[in-house]
Amino acid sequence: MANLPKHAKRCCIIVLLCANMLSGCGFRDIDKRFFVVEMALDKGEKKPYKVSLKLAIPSPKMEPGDSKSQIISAEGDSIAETVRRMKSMVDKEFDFGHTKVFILGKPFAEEVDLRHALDWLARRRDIQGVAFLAMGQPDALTVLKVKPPSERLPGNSLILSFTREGTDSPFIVPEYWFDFYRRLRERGKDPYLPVIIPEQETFDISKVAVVAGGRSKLELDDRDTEIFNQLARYVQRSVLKGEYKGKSFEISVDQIKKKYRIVTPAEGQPSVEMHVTLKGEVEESAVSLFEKDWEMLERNLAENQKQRYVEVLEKLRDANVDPVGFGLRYRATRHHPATEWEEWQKIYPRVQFHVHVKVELKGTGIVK
Amino acid sequence: MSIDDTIERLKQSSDFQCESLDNGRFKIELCYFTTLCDKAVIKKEAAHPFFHAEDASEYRERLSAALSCLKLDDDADPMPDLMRGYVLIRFDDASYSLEAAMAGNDKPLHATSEMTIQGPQTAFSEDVDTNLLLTRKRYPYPALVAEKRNLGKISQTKAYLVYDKEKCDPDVLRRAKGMLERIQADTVMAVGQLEALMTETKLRWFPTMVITERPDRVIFNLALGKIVILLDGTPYALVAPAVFYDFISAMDDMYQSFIVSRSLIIMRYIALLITIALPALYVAVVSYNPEIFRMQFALSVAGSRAAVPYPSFIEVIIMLFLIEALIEASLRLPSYIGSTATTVGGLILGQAAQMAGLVSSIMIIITSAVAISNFVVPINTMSFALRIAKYPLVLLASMFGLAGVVSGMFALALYVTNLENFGRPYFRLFLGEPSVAGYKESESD
Repeated sequence: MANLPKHAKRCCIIVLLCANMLSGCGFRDIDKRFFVVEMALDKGEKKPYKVSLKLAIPSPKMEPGDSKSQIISAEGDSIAETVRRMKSMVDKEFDFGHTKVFILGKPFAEEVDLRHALDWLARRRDIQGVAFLAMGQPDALTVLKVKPPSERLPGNSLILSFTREGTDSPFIVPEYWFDFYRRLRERGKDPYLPVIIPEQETFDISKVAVVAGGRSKLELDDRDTEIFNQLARYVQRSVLKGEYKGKSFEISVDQIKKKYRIVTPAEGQPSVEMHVTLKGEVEESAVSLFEKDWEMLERNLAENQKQRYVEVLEKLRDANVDPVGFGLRYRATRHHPATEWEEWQKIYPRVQFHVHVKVELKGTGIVK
Repeated sequence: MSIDDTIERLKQSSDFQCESLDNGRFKIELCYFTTLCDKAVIKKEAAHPFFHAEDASEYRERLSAALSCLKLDDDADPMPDLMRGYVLIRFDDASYSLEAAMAGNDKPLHATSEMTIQGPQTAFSEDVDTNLLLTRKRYPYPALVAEKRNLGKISQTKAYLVYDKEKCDPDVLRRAKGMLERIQADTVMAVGQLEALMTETKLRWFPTMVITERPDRVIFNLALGKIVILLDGTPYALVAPAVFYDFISAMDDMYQSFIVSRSLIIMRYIALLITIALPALYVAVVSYNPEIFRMQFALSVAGSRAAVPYPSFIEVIIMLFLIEALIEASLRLPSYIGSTATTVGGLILGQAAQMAGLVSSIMIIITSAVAISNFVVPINTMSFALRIAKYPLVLLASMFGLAGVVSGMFALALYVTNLENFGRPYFRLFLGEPSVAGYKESESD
């Protein structure tokens, strides 16, 4: 370079500058990409997979109810193949970087082994680990088609529900893809999926389905889902119902502490000793509570709550699913690489749950 | 060349005057440039004593006693002295040269390029002696040395090398003197040019010496042991050696409270990053990695870009070019037209370019953020250097995406780290400098 004549150097620089006008293959402007905001996986009619994509159509002005999107579906033998097939149905490149919600149809989640079916999600580099997984009832495509009138952007209402930026319902059990994948492969901690039931113009997300062995095994109703949310995740909000002289009152809980220990005595029943502390304020009551004996109210609430915890835990045990992670705790605390898992599988169906609930009333909301 | 030849040569100019004076007892001849000399001085120092002198020898004694008056040898060349405003006084047998230079622009000017809110409001003047006076007045310390130099083969511009002998590093001083010796240019007009002449490499990018118009900054740096070069004909002084941090610090930092000035400094560094990296990040994120945005924002960017048919880097280059042209135009225009240019360019063009679908509205925000952040840098030369830095990064971003931006920033850091001035590292913070204004932490003592 140094011994080239001066005009040759100048030519080099000009050529390099002109080369800037060309762009690399990775270069694709944001407006030449189709953002897939939701993806639905169902069982196909003829082929094993039916993939549906919700594509966002960006517009410079975005107002509530103005969200524009396009849904395309195709069937195929694998997800990768189907997606590749679908590329010929649109004019822009798919971008899965913003696919925040993957919806599995109910029959799909119950009949297909998710450990193999979802391999594509794990391998694609542009799919984010913080995407959410959910189960659609009756199938995933129906969920995709719902268009809530308040939505500013396509898919935004599901994202807001799951990220807790918007609603903060104790019935929604969001499940991240990275967490789902981890639980899917881990022995002793089972994954779960929130169940989305599409209604006329909105969604009802108040149930949870627990997955074991790669298939959806157990579905809990909304009452149990709330308890499940406290057990399997670190949710801090809940509502407790209590009774005072035949009249009911409710307290809203804003702090929940939970710890448990697995006890396996040489003789006798193995058990899980669980301690739960809840703190909250009275939210609704038919009687004036301020001057009553708070300790009695707390005991009453604790007794009720204990029943509900034991009920749900036993339901999970009887279905032989373990989303709380007792099995993982057992393996971690009694480590025998060769035998621990078999041991736990023998212990779990017999395990007894002893839940000790303590409720602390912080206030009655109003003074009198 | 003898004195007579010199005078013959200079007589071609009409402002060169040779007058014969006669007081009845003896005669003298005064030769000087009327444009360069102060007539009052000539009257007081040369004409008045001549009028009263009884004979030539008495007058000779008077001249010897006068301020700045030298006897010239017969073969001495009076030309350089005459060119600088000396008066040549000729007798029948001897010649004297008397300093009678008229001061040029010796009024201290208002600080215009480095404003402070509550610091001193006047800057240096265009006369180097006044500037030295300002410096001495604010730094009345016997160790302050001012060495005189005449720079430029033709211009012979008067310059002072000013330093605190007790505090300055002898090695730096030796290097600085050597650099001044080596200057080969015919004319030296401004300190920025002087900096270029003193630096060996031709491909200079970042300034390595601070150019300042503030006497308080000069004093502060003298006390830190730096050397200052004052140049005649410019209200700016050159401070060396400098570190990168010096260019990001305003004198106001010392006049504000601790928390306020530190927050402002942090803000300036953030602005520095914005002005360098934002256009490149826009290209990289919009064209390679849109997943970095939130989905909601990605869609609105995509929506605002939907009308723009060109790839993102063309859009960036169009906008950056326009804003650079605007800045350059408002610099060169007289100030009363300048504001019109800004309004036309900034408001109308920006809005219209977006409406016409030439650029996206996000790009307008980015362009103005980049331009505004650039003005945050207190020292003008650095702000110019940083204006250039974003272009290589845009180039890398359009070819390699985010990885290109990151490696470009890394390369930039390497380049700046590699810079040295006066054998001292350039890209360091102010660690180890003495605390002279109660401002920088001291580590050395």
